[in-house]
This record gives sequence, C-alpha cells and structure tokens, in this order.
Amino acid sequence: MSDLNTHQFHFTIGPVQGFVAQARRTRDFWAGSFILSWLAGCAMVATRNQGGEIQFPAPDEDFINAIKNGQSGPTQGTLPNRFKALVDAEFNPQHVIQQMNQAWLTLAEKVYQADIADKANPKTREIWQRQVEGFFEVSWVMTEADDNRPLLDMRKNWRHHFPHTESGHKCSLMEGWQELSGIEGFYASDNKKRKNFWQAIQSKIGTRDLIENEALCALSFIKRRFAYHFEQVKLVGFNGWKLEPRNVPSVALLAAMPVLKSIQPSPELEKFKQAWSEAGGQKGETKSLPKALRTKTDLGLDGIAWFSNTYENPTSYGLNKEKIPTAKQALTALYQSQNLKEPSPFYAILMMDGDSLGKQMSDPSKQPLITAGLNKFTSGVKEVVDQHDGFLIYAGGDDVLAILTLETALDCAVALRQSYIDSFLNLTGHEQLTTSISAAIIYAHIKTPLSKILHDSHHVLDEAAKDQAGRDALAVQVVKQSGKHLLWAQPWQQAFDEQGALKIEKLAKQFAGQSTAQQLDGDALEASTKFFYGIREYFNRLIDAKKPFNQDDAQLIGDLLAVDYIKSGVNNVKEIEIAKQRIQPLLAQCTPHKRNDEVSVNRLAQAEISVIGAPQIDGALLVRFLAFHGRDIRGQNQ
Amino acid sequence: MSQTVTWRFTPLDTWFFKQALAPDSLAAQELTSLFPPSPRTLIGALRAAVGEAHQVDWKAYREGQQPQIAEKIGAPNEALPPNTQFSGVAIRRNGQGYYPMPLNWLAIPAQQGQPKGYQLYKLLPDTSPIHCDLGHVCLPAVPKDAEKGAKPLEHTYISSKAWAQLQTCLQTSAFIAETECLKRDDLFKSEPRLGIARNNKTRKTEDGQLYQTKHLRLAQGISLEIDSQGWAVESHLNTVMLGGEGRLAQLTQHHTEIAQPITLPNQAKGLILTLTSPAHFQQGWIPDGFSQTERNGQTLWQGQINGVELTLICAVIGKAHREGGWNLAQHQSRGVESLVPAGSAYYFEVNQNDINQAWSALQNHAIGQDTVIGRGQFNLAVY
Repeated sequence: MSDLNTHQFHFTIGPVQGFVAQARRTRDFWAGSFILSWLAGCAMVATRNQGGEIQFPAPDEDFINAIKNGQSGPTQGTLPNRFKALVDAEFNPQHVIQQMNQAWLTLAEKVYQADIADKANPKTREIWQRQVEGFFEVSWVMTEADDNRPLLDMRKNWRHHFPHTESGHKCSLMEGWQELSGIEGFYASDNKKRKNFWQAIQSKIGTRDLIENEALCALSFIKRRFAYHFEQVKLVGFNGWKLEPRNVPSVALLAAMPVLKSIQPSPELEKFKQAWSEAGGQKGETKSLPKALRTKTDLGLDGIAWFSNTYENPTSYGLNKEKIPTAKQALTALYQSQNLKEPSPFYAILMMDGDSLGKQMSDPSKQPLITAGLNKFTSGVKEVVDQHDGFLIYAGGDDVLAILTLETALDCAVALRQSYIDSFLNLTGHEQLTTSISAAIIYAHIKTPLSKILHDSHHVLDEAAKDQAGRDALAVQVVKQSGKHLLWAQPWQQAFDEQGALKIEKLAKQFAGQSTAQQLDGDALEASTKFFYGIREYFNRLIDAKKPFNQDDAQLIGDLLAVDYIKSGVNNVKEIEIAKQRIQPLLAQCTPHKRNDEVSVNRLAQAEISVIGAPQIDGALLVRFLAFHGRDIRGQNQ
Repeated sequence: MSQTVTWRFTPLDTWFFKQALAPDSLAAQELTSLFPPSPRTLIGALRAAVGEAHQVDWKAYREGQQPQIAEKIGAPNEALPPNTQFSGVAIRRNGQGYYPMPLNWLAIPAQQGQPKGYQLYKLLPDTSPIHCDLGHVCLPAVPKDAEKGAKPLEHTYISSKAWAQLQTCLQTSAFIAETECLKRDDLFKSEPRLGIARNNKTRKTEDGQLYQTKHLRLAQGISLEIDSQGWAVESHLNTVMLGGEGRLAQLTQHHTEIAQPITLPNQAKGLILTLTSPAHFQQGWIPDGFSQTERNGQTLWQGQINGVELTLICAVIGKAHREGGWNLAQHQSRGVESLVPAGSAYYFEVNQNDINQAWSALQNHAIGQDTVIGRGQFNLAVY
C-alpha cells in the first residue's frame, strides 16, 4: 500500500438483477453478466489510472489487462459489480464514473451504428439515447482509510436512481422499457408499422438474433448484439476484444448434452443431420459443446433438434411443415439404432454464494485473507464447471452462476464447495473466518421462461439455503412446465453421508435400480413408485401443520411407511426393523434441518443441526425426479 | 366537507394486474402480476362500473357525445371523476388495515424460544457526513447495539397497530409480533395460466399467439380499498371487472373511520415522513420544492410542505417503483413512471415552527404529483 493512499473509495454499479436476469436466452443472460463485469473492470482501470489500488476483491488481472490492451480476453464475467480501493486524498471519483460511462456509451454506439442506424427513425434515436444514458445506477463513497463503517451498505439504503418515463409499446424482454420503433399506438396500422420496423432489423441481423414478433428496447438489443461489435470498442486504455457470440449453449442443448455424449458417428446420425437441415433447422452453438464432444463428431445442431416435441409444433420454430415428418423419423431412427432414450427436457442453473462474507469484511484484519481465498477460488471455477459439461456465466468474488446438465449439477455444486473450502484452508489465519458456501440448484424444463428461473434462483438461495437451512447449505428446486414442483433444502452436513457423497443422489440411484442392496452395504432402498406416492398420503393425513411435530408423530409415520415398504413387493424385506432402517435415510432427507451455529469449515463437526419441522414430501419427490431424470414412470418426457 | 367513502374490492375470482412487458411475448416470457395494483386500476374499474350502471354507450362517450356520463365519471381523457380526491390503495385483512413496512426499520427474526416476530432496528442519520455521489451527507446508519444481519423486511405489510407503535418510538429498537405482519404468502398465491390471443374480427386464434400469465388468488379475508372524497355515486354498484382479463370483484361501500390522532412524544428531535403510497416527484427521489444546499460542509435539502419549513438531512429510499398501465380512452399504454416506493422515509429537521406545530400541520397531507389519485401519502414518525 502506498503511503499516499490515505483514503478508501467504494464503487458499485447496478441494477444487477434488472439487467442480467431479464433474459429470454442463455446468451442474453451471459451478455448482461459480461457487460456488467466489463463496466466494473473499466471503473477499476480508471481507479488505477489515478493511482488507486484495488483492495477488494482482487481483480482478475486477465480481464483487467484485456480492457487495457484489447486483443484477447476472458469470455466470462469475473469482476463483481462493487469494489473497494485505496486512493489518495486528491482522488477524483467523478473521473472514474465519466470514463466508465464513456466506455459504455461507446459500446452502445457501436451496436447502434452497425445494426440500427440505417433503419432508425428520429424517435428511435431519442429512445436509444434516453435508455442508454439513463439505465445504470452508480454509487460511490470516499472517506479516510481507517473508517470502518459499512459505507457502501449505508449508501445503498438511499437509492437515488429514478429512470425517465417510458411510454409506448414495451420491450419483449425487459419490463417497463419502450421498444425502439417508437410507434406508440396499438391500432392495426400502428402494429403493422411496428412490425415493418422490426422486420427490417431482422432482415439485417438475421432470425437467429431476433425472432418474429420480438421488439426490443436499447438495453435488450445491446445484450443480444454486443458480442458481434465488442471488438470494435477502442478507447484509450479501455478496449473490447473478440468474443464468439455463439459460444453460449442454449438451455435445450444443455438438456440434450447427456444423450449427445452417447451418440456415436453413424449413417443414422448423418441422415438425421441432413433431414434437420432440409427441414430448415439451424446449426447450434458448436463451440459451446464440451471439447470431447466437439472433436468426436459434429453434434452442433440447434438444441431443440434433439427433442421430439419440437416436431409437433414446427411453425413456432420456423421449420418446414412438409419436411418435418422426415426429420422426426430420422431422429427416432437414430435413437433406436443406438439404443438411446430421447434426452430429458430438464437442465440446471447453479447459483452459489459465500456465507456471511459481508459481515466478515467489516473487520479489516480479515480482509486480506478473504481476498486471497476468493482469488484462488474464483480462478478455478471455470475448470470445475467445464469438467461437469456446464457453461460458466459468472464467477467473481464469492459468487458463482453456471448452467449445467441435470446429471452433473449436484456433483458440480459439491466440487465447487470443496474448492471453496480448500481455497481458504492453506491460508494462515483461516480459522478466523467462516469459510462456507451455500448453493441453489434449479432444475427447469426447457420451455419454462428463463427470466422466471433466474428470478427464482435468488429466492431459493437466499430463503431456502441461507435463511431456512441456516447457511452452509444446499437447496434444490424443480420447476416443471406447470410450475414449481418441489423445493428441498438441507445443510451440507445433513446432506452428505460419511463418505462425502450426497445422500439424496444415492437414494435416487437406489430407487432407479442402478444399485443393489448388497452393493450399497445392505441399506439400499428398493421400492415402487406407488410407495413414494404413499408417502405424500401419510404426510398429508398424519401431519397437522397447526401443531408442533414431535417424536411420537415421527415414529408413527416411520412405522406405517415401513409396513408399506414391505408390502410394496419389490424387495425381499420381511422384518419391520429392517424396513425401518431402509426408509430412515429417505425420511431424514424429507425432514427439514437447520444449522444453528455459524462456524468455520474446520469446526464444522461442532455445528449444531436441528430438526425444524415435520417431514415434507419434497425430499421424496426430489429422489424420484433425479431417479427418472424428470421423466414420468414410463420414461416419457413430461 | 364532503364525506369520505371507502370502496372495498373483494375477489370473486383470480386477479391479474399485468406488468409492463409486451403482450406478444410468444410464451417465452411469463407475464406476472403486480400487487397491489395502481390506484388508476381501481379508479378505472369504479368509473367503468358507474358508467355501465348509467347504460353508457362507450363509443359515444369517447367521442364526447355523452356529457351527462362525463359529469359523473370524468371526461375520457381525464381519467378521474370531477372534483374527486382519492386515497389508497390500502390492503385489508378481515377488516384490519395494513401499511407497507417502513424501509428505515431493519428486521431480524426472533430467535427460537422467543415469541414469534421480528426484532427491529431503526436507521438513523449518521453522526458525521460522508463524501459520496450525493454530496457530503449523513447516510442512514444501523444503531451500534443492533444485532448483525438485520435487513429490510421486503414485501411485507404491518398492521396499523404495529405502525402506531413505530411512529412514536424514540428508541432505536422495537419488537413486532409475527401476527402483526402480512407477508406475500399471506396475501396471495400465484396461479400460472396459459392463454391464447384471439382475433376479434375473425373470432379465431392464430399461430404463435400463446401467452403465459401468472394470476393472483388472494387469500381468504384479503381485500383492497380505495377512498374517495367528493364523488357522489347514487348507483348501487355490486360487482365490477377489475384489472387484466376483466376478472370479477365484489364491491362494497363503507364509511371511513376517523383515525385517532397520535400524540407527539416529548424529546423528539425531528420528524420522519414515511410514505404509505408511492410518491411521484419531479426530481426523482427529492420531494418537490426542495433544493440542495450546504451547511458547515454538509449537503442538505431545504423546502416546505404544507407551509412548514423543513430541512432534509437524510433519507432511506427503496428501489424505484415503476408503474404504468393502460389508457383505455386513448387505446395505448401509459408511460411507465419511476415513483419513490411506499415505505421510503425522509428525515427532517424542523426550521421555524416548533416540532409540535409541524406535527399537526403535516397530518393528513400528501406530497408530490398526482396526489389526487392517492400518490405521496405519508405517516409521520419521530427520531
């Protein structure tokens, strides 16, 4: 630290949720996160240009160097939307804001000139300027370096950003923002003019980036198109670099990934690819596939190609009605020839967040430790996500956001948790810290609106994993087309068995018949689906939500379920005590627990875990969901 | 002074108050419902019901050919009955009124073994100004003895009884029981729906017109209210169509109870004005008529409300509440405006008048634009 840097400067830019989570596609989602990271990085560079030292978090220097030098750089956002720097007394925060704004306005202008300008009317330009200039909310605080008050939190209690009034027809993606045609009426003639405006844009940029009837505001349009023009941003010391706009997998491609991994090159595959192409189907995000798949064979078709449901409604996907039966037959033949099932239509969003870090950061002595630990953790996240066939949207500070397949999400969460713990364990003084991390996984159907899933994921993490389970916890939600199917949460400590495997996954494997009782040390749970539905019946009938649930109630339910387990007829168990032992792990995962003490991981064994309510069906539903990969009992997609 | 009438809307079906997203979103977006709805939504439903009761010909009315109807419900382009003041929208459960949780009280759930509820801590202007993008201001600070982890109670309403307790509280902490709170889950459940748009001319559906909505099914005992003053409605209104997709509501009229005046506690240093309905100011978060000034290096804002000179020293302001709607008469959407959300709190020093006079003069007043439809209503508290 320079002796001249006697002051601290705190910076934050938002809205994060308002910009990132309002997304129709994974690419919108990734773009929002990336742009916010880049802007935070521009602010960091501008802070350093005035002699400031970024103190927390330690920035990803690859990202910072890319901003300074252009040429090449990361493809994921890795810089958080807030940071703290040490600066001298003459430091001018306004210069930081001005330079960051200049970078944003330049990026926006590149997109406008390339994609919109020659189709725009005067109103379009007015809307564009208003939205681009008035969208981001930036706050900063500067005081003496030894001021230990939670300055940015205090500042954020006083919101000051009130965007301009937005009239007319609204954006299809971001709530409350006017679309760019500027045609305000809703009569048929207005609708036609508006359609013509967007068709002209679509003919220029292609149907891949603008589907029929989409009408976007400036902010949504920038998210959709910035990757094509980012490389052109060249300011002194603030640059963009080459991005591959199509390297973000769609949710359909992620859902299909487990099956794609098993597809072998064959005449049937070639025939299907040909038929898909003739039906007007598009190529997909080839570069987003895991390396192993990319080199094995060309499977980079649009993700929807792998689902039979797509062929029932060809016009919605711009496919040729006449050619579609041939494509569907070719797909069925491909699956049959390789003895494969159609992929499950579920994918996963993983969101993780370190526990109580904000509180600990208020203690200056802990700050260097936290910075070092997080730096180590963040640098390894992408590799872990890649290993699990996922796509990392963002990893910065203690936050992780990734899209994964149904089959790999839980394992990826476990691996990242271990990586988080390991990142701190070798640091001297780590025992002063609470180094735990909570995770939320949302398994969602590919047809569920993405913005809804992203919105839900924050609630699942904050309310289920952190508040309800007491942090250092895992929460899982399943969202089907019909809505929320289940929400389950347990402290990690309760979720793991002695070998460090997730009990819920083990139960799912047992239920799916992938293991035998002998292989699993005699505690396997083989039971019929009817037995699982019986659990719901018992819970509904025997648990009175208005009364406290006690040990007698638990015993009664355990006894009744044990009898049903024997009666289910798919296992050889005859003795009630053995049956009770077999169903106990399932009942334990159905019973909500909470950590009552915040302790560091190396004292985790001392954390007090207590039962906080009656058993709930969600644990059993999750076992069943994982066992059948979201399909129904006949193995059909729902 | 004319009588205040309370209009109570009780659901007979699910309700849907559409967010400001394009309706042709191809089912890739789910159109969610706002809650509570804008006062314009309730006022519009009332005006439509009165018009129907007088057998209005809506086309003739829009063309200005039914002046007798316009006298009762207002002209098509005015959207308000003449000489009428509205206030609300208020939430009631089984007759009990609820207010948005003040944002300047942070909460932490009571620990196990204690009565169920929330320990609250009041944010107060910090003792020394901080250099930030607002100037050199005294930012709102958590009291030193507050438990760690206290945070705003989002999407929560508290009973008028709990509110009265907070209004006169000079302490920096308070406890409210869970039974005095209404959380979002206590108010309604969401119901996803799938709809398909229809061409009214051909009465047929077309490809690509599917849409998803999320309706609200209000909990038993929950109703919405809006008060009107100066509006003489002779017609008996029983049911009205409310919000998107014209869902039914039962309408009943009540006479408003006059709230008991609250006595200002001794030793109060200043006043806290807490919004109970969103406020619309011309300068974003700054109350109309207030301008920035400096005093001993501290940034302040000075102005007056209802003739009372006030100095704004600190504020707790929530994220902008964005509200639009549909202008039926002009057949286009209203501009989505940024409003200061209900629950936001302004901390004032009182200049010339003593604090008792200010307390009295500011009762039952509203601030900002569009107060005639109930914007900018507030309750007073002290610090």
